Amino acid sequence: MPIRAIHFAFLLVSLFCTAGLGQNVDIPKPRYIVTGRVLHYPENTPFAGVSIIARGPERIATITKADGAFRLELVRGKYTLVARLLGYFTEETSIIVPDDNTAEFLLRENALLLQEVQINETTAEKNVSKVEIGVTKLNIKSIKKIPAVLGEVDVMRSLQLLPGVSSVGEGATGINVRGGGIDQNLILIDDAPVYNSSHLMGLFSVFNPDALKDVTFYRGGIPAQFGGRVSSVIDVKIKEPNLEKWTMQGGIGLVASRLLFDGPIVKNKIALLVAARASFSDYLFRFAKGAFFKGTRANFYDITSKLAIKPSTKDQIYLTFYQGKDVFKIAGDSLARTEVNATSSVFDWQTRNLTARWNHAFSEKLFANLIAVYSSYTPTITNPDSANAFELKSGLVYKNIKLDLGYVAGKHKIDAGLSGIRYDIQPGDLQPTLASSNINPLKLQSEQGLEAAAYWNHEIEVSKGLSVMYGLRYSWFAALGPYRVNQYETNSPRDPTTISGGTDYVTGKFIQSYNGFEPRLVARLNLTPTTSLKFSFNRMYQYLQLISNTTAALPTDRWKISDAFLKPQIGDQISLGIFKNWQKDTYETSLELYYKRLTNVADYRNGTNLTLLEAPETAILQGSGRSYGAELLARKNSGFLTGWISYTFAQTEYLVNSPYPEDKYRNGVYFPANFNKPHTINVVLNYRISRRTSWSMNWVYSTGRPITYPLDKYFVGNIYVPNYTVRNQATIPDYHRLDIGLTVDPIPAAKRKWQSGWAFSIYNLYARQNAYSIFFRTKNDNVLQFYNKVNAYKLSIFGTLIPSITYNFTY
Amino acid sequence: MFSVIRYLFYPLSFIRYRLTVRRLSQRRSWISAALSALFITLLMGQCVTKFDPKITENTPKLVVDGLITDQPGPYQIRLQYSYPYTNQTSVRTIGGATVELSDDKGTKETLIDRGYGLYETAANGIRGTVGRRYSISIKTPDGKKYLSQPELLKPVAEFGTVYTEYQQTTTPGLRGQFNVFVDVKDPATPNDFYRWKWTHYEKLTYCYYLFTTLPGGIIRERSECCESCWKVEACNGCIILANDRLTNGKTITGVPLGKIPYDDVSGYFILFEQYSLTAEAYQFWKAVDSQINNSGGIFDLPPATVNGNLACTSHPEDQVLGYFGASSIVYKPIRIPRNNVTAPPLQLYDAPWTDVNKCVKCQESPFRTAKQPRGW
Repeated sequence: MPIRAIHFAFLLVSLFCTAGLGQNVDIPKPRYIVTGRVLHYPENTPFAGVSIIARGPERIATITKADGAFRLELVRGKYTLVARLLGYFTEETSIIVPDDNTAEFLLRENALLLQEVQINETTAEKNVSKVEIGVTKLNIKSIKKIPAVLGEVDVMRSLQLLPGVSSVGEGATGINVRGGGIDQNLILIDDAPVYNSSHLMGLFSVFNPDALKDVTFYRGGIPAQFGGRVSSVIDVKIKEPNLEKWTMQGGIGLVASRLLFDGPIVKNKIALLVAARASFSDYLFRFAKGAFFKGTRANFYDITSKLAIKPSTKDQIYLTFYQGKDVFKIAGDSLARTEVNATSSVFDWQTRNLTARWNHAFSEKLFANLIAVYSSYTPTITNPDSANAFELKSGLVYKNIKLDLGYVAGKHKIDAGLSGIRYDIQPGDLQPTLASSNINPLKLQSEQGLEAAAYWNHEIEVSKGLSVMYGLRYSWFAALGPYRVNQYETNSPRDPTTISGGTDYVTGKFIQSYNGFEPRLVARLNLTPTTSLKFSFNRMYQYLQLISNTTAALPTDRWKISDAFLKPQIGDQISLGIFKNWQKDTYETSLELYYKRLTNVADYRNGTNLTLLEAPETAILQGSGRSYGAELLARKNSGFLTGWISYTFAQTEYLVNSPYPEDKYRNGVYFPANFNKPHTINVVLNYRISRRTSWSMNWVYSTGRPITYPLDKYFVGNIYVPNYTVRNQATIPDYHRLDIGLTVDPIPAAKRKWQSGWAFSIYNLYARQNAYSIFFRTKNDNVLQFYNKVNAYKLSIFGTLIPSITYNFTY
Repeated sequence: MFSVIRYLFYPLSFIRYRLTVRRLSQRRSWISAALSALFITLLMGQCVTKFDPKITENTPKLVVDGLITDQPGPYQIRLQYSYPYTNQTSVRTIGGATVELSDDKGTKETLIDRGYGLYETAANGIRGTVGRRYSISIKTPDGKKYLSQPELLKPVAEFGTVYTEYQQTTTPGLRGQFNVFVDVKDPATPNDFYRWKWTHYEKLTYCYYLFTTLPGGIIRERSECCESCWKVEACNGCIILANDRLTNGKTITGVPLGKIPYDDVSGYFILFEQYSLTAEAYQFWKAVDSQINNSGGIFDLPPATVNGNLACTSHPEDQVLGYFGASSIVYKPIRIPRNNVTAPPLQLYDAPWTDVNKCVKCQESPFRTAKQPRGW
């Protein structure tokens, strides 16, 4: 019974202290015994471990025993007895000693309080009063309450439960926000960009949940501080290292395990946080014998680390380091990317980010941040076969210097700053790795770019009812040499066969530059103290985009800067919302409407392989997109039951005209985007059944994503070929899924150092075989094609329920 | 039995279905392997089930399928209409059309209508020559006119080295199989594109088998062939392609040509054909290959129109499907030895047969021929 032992020791100490105090007094004052009990509301069961503090002529504290009883010896006088425990509403009662000698408390749970890290929690009332629209702040505690797939708490998956967020399907990397592509989200870990947000080809997100403080997600009303992506900003902040004491926490899951150390190097001056996570999923493959799994390996690790230095009360310096790596080995060149025969291929990709941040406060009102970021993303494909051994490397290096000034006084909050970015991209470098290899080296031209921005963002309370946040960002971009820009024959579409020449640009010479103003505006009008109306407008420029024509992007897909042919993407969004809170902010409701216009969205020529493409402009088409929708949300913020229900209506359509004859059927016609799902319902509930235990569930429903069906088929070369013409004209069956989870937290009041908890979850509880896609196959090797039956098939990815269990601990 | 439940480790879902289909004979084996790894299947079940998309719409489009080669003619052009995707009925062929084959030197030949949509050049007519460009023009009975892009007949590299690798299988009744590969020496010129086809021939003793089920049991009767007769097995729906983009001037290695069952120790006769392709033809077949092997996986290319090299000149908005190609061909007949494996092939029990004393004619069909195969 270690808990009781600790309590007993604590009691002994407090008794000893009390006794010690008494010895200093010449004549001991008479002491009177006060006893009482603390019960758990509403079950009326005894409550151990509750602190009882007596405030009056002297301050004495004790802790309730297993039967909920406490005993205090007090001198004569008036006292306030306080019963307190983290996670419960504090109860007080007044007594007069020696007249009153008993007290009883009923402690009621405060579900909100239990969620810890209150500092960053946006309170319900702020929902109405804040000058923000389309912004959600999730703290890591609430993300951890959402049932997880394979026991891993996942930021990206949690975001998908919010209105306005969708993805092409389970297991796909990235999210689509209000009709934007997956490369249109600016994902930042402590100011450093993340280009691939998932591990294991989309199964897990790259963020170690233990190391996170919070995630702020902007899908509308984006402040002028952020730029460079047209759809959303996902701002992930790493926990501040603990300057007081060392702690350790971790977890063991089915696929991945994690460990975190956190504590001071020099107390109150320098502190360090190191969190590591690694998968040991290889063993899963070893269970599976047989040709299909043979040679398959998949592993990842990531390290998140943050160093905090506080040289003075006015300065803080932070260094954040993140490194994540995945290795995925599969049999054959199954992805047929390089069109080279191989018995196995290894895909690996690595993110390495380093951020240095210096905060300085000039005064209470004025402060500055100087931020330097280095980020690299390096995907590689390798083939070990001696005859065709090769390594295909690519890489993206991002360097950023940023100066932010902040001013907060009364009704004004101003942020202004400057930012400069340098991009260096190697889109593909193929090298034979053995002398016997038949592969010829092929190195694509590297790309260089410079991006600069200046911004001003001002939040002002115009009157009691009206607040406005306006901002302006000016961004400028240039593609730099060394680079050879192809010239194409006039009056014919760009194609490798129509290259007529080229222009060489020397190092540092500007090839093409773009610039633009990006206005931002959010206005809030309070109709009543609990109701507000909000309006926002923002324009965003994007100079870097992902080149991918598959349904879900591959981690090895190419990132490309704007150049002489590829124009920057521009996103304009207006949104309008009404927010109302009920019953002292217990319930929160909102309706948001938005319309978004996308300019220069990328699409691709039919059937082109983008890997190692020397002239990408021959495959990329640019068009426009429009997206509109309504998002309804009802949320309960406090009490035993918390959670939300949301309904989203959204439509996203693209229009891409093509000069190429093979694409003529798409000209002039808007087609739904791959991730267009008009109706979505999300239900997320969390019910706390006791101090330690809570149930959670989420149910999601959405209409199926669009798909292209063949309208007819034809027989050529003894093969049936499906003929697809109208793009994305049909939809796959609707998607719905229920997940449940049970979390057992460490005992909040326990004083022992090693504390542990469990998380159980079942993903897809009713084992629905949701369609990931519908596809058509004519081919069957066993019969002559002519006699072959033609069928459509449904592919389900998580076709069954997936239970998982994770053991978490802190020390 | 095609509605097979597939269990895959989830992150592998991008693995092309093609891989598993090529190993169709192994499918049951790896399903059992996957089931034995129940842990995984429970955790990460992925499955494929039949689905009815209820497609109805269709406008028939002209489909052209033709090829001229550097081998002696006659060359064939087939004309059909496309038809609804889920329709299982037979092809609608086009008769009464005027088809003209011409080259870049002005030589023209009108093809003979053989019926069932088949048009042929005369036996002593035009002959494909390397370096020349060929095109066809078509006038259908409804008055529409069609024209193909001129297609260059490119030379083909020498047939490469064929080799096999023995592989054990767990397919019931089959001990193993031989995987056949080819290594081709690519010429120094860039943009060489290749396609392979194969046909397997087996000399038949008996041309007719008859089972009669009677209350007393089954009577098995068989008749010998009257003349020499071969069983024909062609690659169904195979599109074996290669290009020299990354290996120009070197050897293109390990192109998988097919799989041969280890069910006998006799030599296995295969006639391989290696075709030269133009870049456009390669693109066409590559696109067809990607469309027919679509696995619905998350890294599949989205379905797209496969563009041929024909257009409707009288109605430019009409879609024309198919391809008119020109290829140079080299043949390689091979008798692949199967007696180099220590363990003998598994013997299947064969019930006794009654020989009928009347021979049966060798019926020409896609599965049988009386003509001696090239290189036999």
